[in-house]
Amino acid sequence: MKSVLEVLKSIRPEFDFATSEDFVADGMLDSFDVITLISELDKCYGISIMGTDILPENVRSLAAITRLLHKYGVTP
Amino acid sequence: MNQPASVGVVYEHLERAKRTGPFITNFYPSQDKLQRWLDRGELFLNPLGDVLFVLRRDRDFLHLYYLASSAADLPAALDELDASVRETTTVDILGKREQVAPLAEKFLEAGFADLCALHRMTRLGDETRTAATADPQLVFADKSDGNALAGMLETALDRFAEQIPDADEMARAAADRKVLIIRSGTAIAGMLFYEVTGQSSLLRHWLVDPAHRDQRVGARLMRRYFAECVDVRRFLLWVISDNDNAIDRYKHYGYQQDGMIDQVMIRRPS
Repeated sequence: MKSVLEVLKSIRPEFDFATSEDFVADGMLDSFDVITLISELDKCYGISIMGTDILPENVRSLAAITRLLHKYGVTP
Repeated sequence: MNQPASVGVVYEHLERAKRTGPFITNFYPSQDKLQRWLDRGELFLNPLGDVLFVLRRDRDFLHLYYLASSAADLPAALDELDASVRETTTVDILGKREQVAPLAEKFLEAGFADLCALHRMTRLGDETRTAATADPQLVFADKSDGNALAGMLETALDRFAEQIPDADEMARAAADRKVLIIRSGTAIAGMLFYEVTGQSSLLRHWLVDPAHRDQRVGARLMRRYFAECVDVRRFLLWVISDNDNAIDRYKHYGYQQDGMIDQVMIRRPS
């Protein structure tokens, strides 16, 4: 199973996500990337993230993504 | 169609539409854009069953945004929308080709026609810092250039396909030092309008006045743009897919198509 960092890297290989605390404000993820990331998380962890959870604040950092995955019973 | 009273009302509708489960959408507004559209009375909401339509007035037509749980819900809702909206309407369907094609089918069924496709191109920032060379004619536009800049764009671009900013948006971008221009006397020989978010930059419009073509105006603007964006790691732009001349120029500067497309469709009142 891929780590969250690996999933992020597969979407935007040019950025170093480990060094950012806000992927959206730092321009690493735009609106399209957020949708792509959600779909990759769904596929990778076998979950179905609800529409109401598809928000920039839920994917703006590694901690936020981890919290989101916990909500769906996943410990990445 | 109803005009929402506040950004909060728009978000409430979006939340309600998302509660039905997974969703598809082409609506990705920033809060300040939403607020501006509301302040100017340009935004309308139209919930139809499980589909939320958002319409935005732009000059003499409407942009259509949708939020639906599946593509299958769209045709019936679009038919219903057609009964209440008797104006020219455009829709941008965004995504990878395999995501866009089945959605475009649904809009075709509902009376929309293909207008054009835009392709996204990406360029990675390089480690070598390009220093801005002295070029006294190349300056940041002033707020007072807003009307002239908007006029240039209006003349050269397709208003249905290219999200043309108006004079107010250009004046704000100029005040924010995001519009580079080359002056020629009192006229503007060329302009480059861009946005920066953290380590990404979107090139909105790059335009040379026809009277000043083949004078390296565009090249000077582009070089300065990269020099201004030394911390940017990802440069993006959208280009009309059959504009081979522009695509070749962008490739010359290191941009490559990245597979994202924007299929623009239009429905004119019958």
